Amino acid sequence: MSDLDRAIAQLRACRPIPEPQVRELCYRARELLIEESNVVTVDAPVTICGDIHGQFHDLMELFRVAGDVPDTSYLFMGDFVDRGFYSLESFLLLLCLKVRYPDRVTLIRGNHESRQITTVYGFYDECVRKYGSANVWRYCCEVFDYLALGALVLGASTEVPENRIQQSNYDTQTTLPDIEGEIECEVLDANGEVREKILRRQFNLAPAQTSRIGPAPDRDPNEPSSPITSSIPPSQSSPSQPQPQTGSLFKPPPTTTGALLCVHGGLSPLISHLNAIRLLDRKQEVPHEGAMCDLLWSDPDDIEGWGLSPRGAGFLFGADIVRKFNHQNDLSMICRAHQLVMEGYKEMFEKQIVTVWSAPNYCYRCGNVAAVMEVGEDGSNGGSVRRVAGGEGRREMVGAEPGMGSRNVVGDGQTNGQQVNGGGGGGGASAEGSGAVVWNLATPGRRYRVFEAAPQGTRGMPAKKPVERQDVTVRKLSAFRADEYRSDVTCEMLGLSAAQRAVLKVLLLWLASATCIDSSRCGLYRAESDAALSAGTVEDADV
Amino acid sequence: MSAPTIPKLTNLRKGARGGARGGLSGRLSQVDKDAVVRSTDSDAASSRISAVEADYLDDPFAKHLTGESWQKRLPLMNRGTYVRTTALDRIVDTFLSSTEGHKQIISLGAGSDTRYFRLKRDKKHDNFSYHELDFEENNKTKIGRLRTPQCLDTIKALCDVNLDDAGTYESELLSSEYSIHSIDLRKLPEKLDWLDGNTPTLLISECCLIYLSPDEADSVLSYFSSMLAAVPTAIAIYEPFRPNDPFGKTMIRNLTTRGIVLQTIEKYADPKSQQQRLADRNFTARVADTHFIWSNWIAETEQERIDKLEWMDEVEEFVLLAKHYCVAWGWRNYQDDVTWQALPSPA
Repeated sequence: MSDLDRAIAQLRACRPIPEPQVRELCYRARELLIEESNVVTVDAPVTICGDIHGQFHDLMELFRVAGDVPDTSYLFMGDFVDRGFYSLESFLLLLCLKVRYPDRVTLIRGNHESRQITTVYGFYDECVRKYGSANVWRYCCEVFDYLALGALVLGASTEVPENRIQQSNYDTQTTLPDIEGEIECEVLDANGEVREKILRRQFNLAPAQTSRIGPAPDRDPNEPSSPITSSIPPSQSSPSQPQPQTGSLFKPPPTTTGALLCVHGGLSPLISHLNAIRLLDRKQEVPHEGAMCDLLWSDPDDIEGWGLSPRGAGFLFGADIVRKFNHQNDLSMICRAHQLVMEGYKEMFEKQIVTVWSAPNYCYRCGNVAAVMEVGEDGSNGGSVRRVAGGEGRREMVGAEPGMGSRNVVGDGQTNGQQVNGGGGGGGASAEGSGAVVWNLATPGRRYRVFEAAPQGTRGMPAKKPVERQDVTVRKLSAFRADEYRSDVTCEMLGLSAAQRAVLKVLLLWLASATCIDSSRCGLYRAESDAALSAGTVEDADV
Repeated sequence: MSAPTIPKLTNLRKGARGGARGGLSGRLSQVDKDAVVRSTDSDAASSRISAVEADYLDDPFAKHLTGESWQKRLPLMNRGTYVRTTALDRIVDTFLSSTEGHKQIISLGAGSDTRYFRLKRDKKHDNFSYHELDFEENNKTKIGRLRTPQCLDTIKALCDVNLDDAGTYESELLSSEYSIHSIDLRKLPEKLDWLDGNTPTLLISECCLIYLSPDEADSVLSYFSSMLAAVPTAIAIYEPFRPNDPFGKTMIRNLTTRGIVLQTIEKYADPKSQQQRLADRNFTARVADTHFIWSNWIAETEQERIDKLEWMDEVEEFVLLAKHYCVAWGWRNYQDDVTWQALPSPA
């Protein structure tokens, strides 16, 4: 068993690994991540996960429900740390798995993977508490700077992926009555039992037929329940494929969709093409503004265009922005995390964007369920996947966009060598100017696995919360050690030599222990360590 | 590092060691249950000082009335405390503006509340008396803190109130304007000497009635309603509600692990039943959750100020939380209730 496998085993048992091992791990992870593009390419099939937030036991539940690494290929969309009690174990485990199985695990950056946020929301304090120093926090933050900003999932099929996880006690297929038509989306509970199947929408026919057992998840209220346009001749039958241009050699494979863009937050007004993301210099702390900040902080909202975010960073963006972005980048869907959704996932804007949230009973308080999203691979091409996000693939209508004119033609794939001659009458739906219908690439077939929080201790909530039995002095001393990093910084600013620093540290250590002064008052140090974690994670009747 | 926000669970368990590992609340005696309820006031005080220190609230008295150990709360908690305090302040202000002449305010389970002193400092209203009711133990603590020189000085300097002259006993404080009464609301006497049945009155319950049994809580309301049958009277209630959705269920479960039982929450679970409780006593009643209050009672400039105080990455969580606390208010016997009608409420 290699050191790495040993570390994985130890972390799976929720036991932190020693500091030197963390250092080594972070070094190896950086070596690996530095090679990745800002937008890393991932092949379907893949299971896409949202925020984890240090809820280690729920991460284990996620692996139980959705399959273990390396059998299942995972893409985690950031926010591994903060808020929960086990940020350290959760992040280090994911990092170990990344290093061990680089092709089976993809990690991208969330807004909490930042020095500034982790000092407010708990990860910093947790590291200090568990190691008595901030070194591990520093190593992790250096890794954060190298995480990719987004991922592009290629080769996804329009069909619901094959269910590779068979739960013994359930026959997943017999619980729902058979429904006619192409299934676009399937929702399973933690036992693998089908709760819902959703048919691919027939644009010119009746609204999507759904067959439900469980409660309906948050549905986009704006989702049209009737045909969204009358400009489609009724004769144009399913599957919802516009007629290709007469005489064109191009015939999109009926089972291929466009690429999926995965990003933690959302879009940025500074980015209209994926290439703009690729050009960013990502190896830095998350800035307070700008494209990189927006990708990690923005949220979709029921507005038109762009709006100010209540979070104080990033923006709100509306359906029109998403539709246009997906169209221009030949994306079939944007997949993001960042926002708590009570049902674990939420599709918006006619399935052009989905929020996936993977922290059940968030903060041990919110009572929500969590979800992961699976997309399958399109095997129709003999398993070979095109390495670019081309426009090849089946298209579906996603609404009218004024002034999008000629780009609305089906088969708008430069990569296919096909010339598009300015709205040359393709498909009967590509009328010029206002009211033109937008045909985007068909959404991938997908399966959501919804799961609840891992079973808790007998006292319920902050189950297995680590108990600290240090007396006051020890805590102050460890807080002192904890902040050697900060003192180093201060010493650097003061221009002190190493010897001078050592003397200063000994002096301060003596001072802290002899007088038991609260080291936070020294100015150099921040003593309170566990406050942020415990405050707010328990319920306050008396807010 | 057992969290200070989990009050003394281990103390409460003494004598029960080795017993069943089941629910805590079932084994607690009445005395212990009261202790748990009383301890919710130190949560409130802790939340208040946290919001004050982070500049959400301007309350120079809070630090004098809070114990040594409090911890910084998360931004969403601070915002919740801010909305709660601001909402009740506005109702108090509405009440004090709604009639001429002498008025009285009765605060049930007031604990470490500082509202009287803030009213005096702001000097917008005078000619009112302020009565705080709570358990004897909480009052002892509060009076002890009020009588520290620093606190007395602050009060003198900012409010022009001299508590030196007040008749202070261990658990009661009686002055012409401000009084603290020790009383168990479950055992209200036939008559309260200090209660003037002919003065317009506002009754406040900030997370108080909810800890009584439904019958006890109802009889407290009926008691004061009948005492104040003929004068302009108003009621303001702030408490958690909506216990039956996933967030609410989790809230109840988490509180249960702390031994806290919200006894009336099932009976007054939604806006309608909250409203009905006041309407049954002939009040014109309104109910809003604190998310509505945040969106509709707080001026935009003020919202912007709050937004800038802390970087809040808990927006959805705040909305969830705020939708599970309500403010219910009602008024009756007003000839002119224009000021009351002006308070925004959900349609």
